Amino acid sequence: MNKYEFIADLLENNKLDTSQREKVFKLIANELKIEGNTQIQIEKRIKKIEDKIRDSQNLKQQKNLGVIENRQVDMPGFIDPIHLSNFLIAYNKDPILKYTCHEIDEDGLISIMELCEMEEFELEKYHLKIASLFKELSNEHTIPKNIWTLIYSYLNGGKEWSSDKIKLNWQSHELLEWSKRNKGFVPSPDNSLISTTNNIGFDFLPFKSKVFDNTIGSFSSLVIHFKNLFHIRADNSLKKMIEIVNVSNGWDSKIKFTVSMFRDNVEFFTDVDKLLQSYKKIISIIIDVSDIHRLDRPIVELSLNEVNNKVLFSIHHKNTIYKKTIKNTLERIGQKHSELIKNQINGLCNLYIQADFDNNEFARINLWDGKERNAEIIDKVIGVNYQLIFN
Amino acid sequence: MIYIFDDKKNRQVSYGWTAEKFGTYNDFVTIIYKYDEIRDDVSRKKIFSSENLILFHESFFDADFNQHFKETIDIRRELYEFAQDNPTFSIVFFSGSKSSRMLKKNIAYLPVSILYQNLEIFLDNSINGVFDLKHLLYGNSPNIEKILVEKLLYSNSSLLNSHSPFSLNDNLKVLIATTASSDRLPRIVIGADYKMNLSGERDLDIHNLIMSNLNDQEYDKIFIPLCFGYSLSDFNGLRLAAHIRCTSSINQCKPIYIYSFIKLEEIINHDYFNVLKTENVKLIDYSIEAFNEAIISKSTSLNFNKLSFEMSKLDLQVPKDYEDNHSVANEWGVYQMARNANIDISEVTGFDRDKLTSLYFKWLITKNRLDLPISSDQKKAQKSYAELLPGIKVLGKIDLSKFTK
Repeated sequence: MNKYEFIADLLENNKLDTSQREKVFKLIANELKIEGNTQIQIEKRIKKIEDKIRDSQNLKQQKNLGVIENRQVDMPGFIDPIHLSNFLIAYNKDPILKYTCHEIDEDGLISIMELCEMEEFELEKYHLKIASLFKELSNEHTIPKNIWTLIYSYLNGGKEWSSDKIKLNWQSHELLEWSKRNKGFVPSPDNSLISTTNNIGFDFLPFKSKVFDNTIGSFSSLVIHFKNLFHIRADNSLKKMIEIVNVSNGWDSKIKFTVSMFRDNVEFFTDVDKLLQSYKKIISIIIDVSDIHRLDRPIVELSLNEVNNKVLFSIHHKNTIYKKTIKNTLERIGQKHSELIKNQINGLCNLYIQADFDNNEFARINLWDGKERNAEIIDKVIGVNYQLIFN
Repeated sequence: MIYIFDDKKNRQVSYGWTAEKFGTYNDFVTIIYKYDEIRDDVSRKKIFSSENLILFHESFFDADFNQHFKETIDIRRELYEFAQDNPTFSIVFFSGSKSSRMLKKNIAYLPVSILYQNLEIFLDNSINGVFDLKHLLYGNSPNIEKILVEKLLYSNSSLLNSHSPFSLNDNLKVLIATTASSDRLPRIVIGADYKMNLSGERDLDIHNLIMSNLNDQEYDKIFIPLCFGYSLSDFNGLRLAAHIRCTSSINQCKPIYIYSFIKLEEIINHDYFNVLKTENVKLIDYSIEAFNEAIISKSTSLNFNKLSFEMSKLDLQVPKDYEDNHSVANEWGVYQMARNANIDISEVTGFDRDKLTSLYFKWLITKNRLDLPISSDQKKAQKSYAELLPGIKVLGKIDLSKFTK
């Protein structure tokens, strides 16, 4: 149990009265001040603690809702996707870890050497530092196993990482060999550092990424590739990734895709591999439903937008109706949806469906958001709209 | 007014943007290094006015001393929304984790290296009344440069579509010169020497690279990129090929393949295009297949005796940094006299030795075969003349003051 979990447990304890709680808060603040943090950092940490408390309360609530969930095959405990996003943001801005997902410039090199107490860049020392910082950060956050495995394998090896099954990592034999031959140089320099040092970093036998449809042949491009696996933004567009998936699966001929309000500039931190897996699963469900019920060629409208500071990715099968009643759906979401939640959605995002349930019944159901499943009756909508909401 | 939000001075200096250089743009550019500089409402109001441009480093608020109560991602979102609602206000996000350039109306995204590389061009254009973010993304010739950047990106992406990297035959020695940029050619030929890290485009840079990379190992074939340097549309690879031919080295006459992601007809009007008309210099596609074909094709070195004739196919103009044709003629005259007199040019006081690294001068030397030592007959003749000539006698000075106009 780490410090924050201990604090969260303490605050959850019902036996503490108000004055005792205040004392605990003071002690927490002192503890955080000792670490030399600014007020803002303290606020952020307290927020983290609050998140932990909310999360564990959600888990308890989940257990209380067992009546509904127990009817279904072992559903997991709800993991709030905020943790994934918080963890990735923290990783991305850590002054040392950030250089595992950014090219290293001259200034970055100076700060790495200062923080790692090196006279000149040493890969082994740098790796020791990133490995320990990652461990520390993982302990501070509740993160889904998949993203942890992805980052751990990228940093330490032991397993191929990402759906591109990449073997190369910060502990690869080839990289370590390169480092011995290139003492003092970083494996992933940016253009300015290249021009100062005349060393281009570590180049390797190139491979093709299926996710981004590009060629990776240098460690500098590998770190950007890694970053693109958890940060969606204008220059790492979800739309482009979806197009690649549609073409490589032959779905662009089976389905008529339309795009509405797909904002390219939407920026969020998430597990891109899992997001794409979720997309593939949902499209497969749409194709299966269309095949089984002999529906017309599916028309699927995709959109990406921001709603109340959250990101809404919707996959809207327009020419269909939901093939279950609202009551049935509330009781059992079905095996495919359960698997989707268990294997992809939980910890990644919240999942809702907004659908035409036939017989003039239209509803929005929270398939997975940590709350008791319920149906919100809504105005007429067409088709079935899968809504994935990211933090 | 242009506001640059970058928390790291060192980063700017490493890209050549010293305080002095920024000082020359003081009237147009304000640099914000710390959040403290803009905490008050007045500053913020000033910054967020129409007609302004913010160049914003994505991690500005991640620095310890710039901690903001909002998360950086939310700040970026708000900046984006502000720019979207105010079309006369522009925002450019830059970062070291970006690999591509993107421009949508008044909002742009680009790598940090590209921003500082093109900033001067952008500022100069803006000062002259041409405010166009495309200059920031693509430099001086944004339209052609954009096309070339996209073609290069596509060529790199599709490199492994139908072919895999292949290994060289053991007894072949191949040099593949690559650029120093992150979009360089990946290592598609196993066993080749990847060297040179081309970036500088001055004659001196290119000359030095040839001297340090082409003098130790003799290669069977040399591959060079068509595009490198400050802007892809300069097609510096043609100049590099001419440099290799005009620089004395053990690889001077080796077959040269210029790998290119654009077609021959697109460079036909280039000043150095004629180098492709010379023997053993070929333009090949930017593909594994083309490299393979070039490597297995039979080719021999250019006969050194034909070098002068081949180089005469080039029609180089006097470089702009010479004052006029007379000054070229003067220096060229000095060089020839020294060479014919068997005097080492480095001993001639006042002769600018750097001229010898300029392609123009090297080309004159190669074309006119002045790179060869003078013949033994000439040396003998010089000796006999020297014995006959008594040398210069100084009889006295003419006092000009004695003469009236």
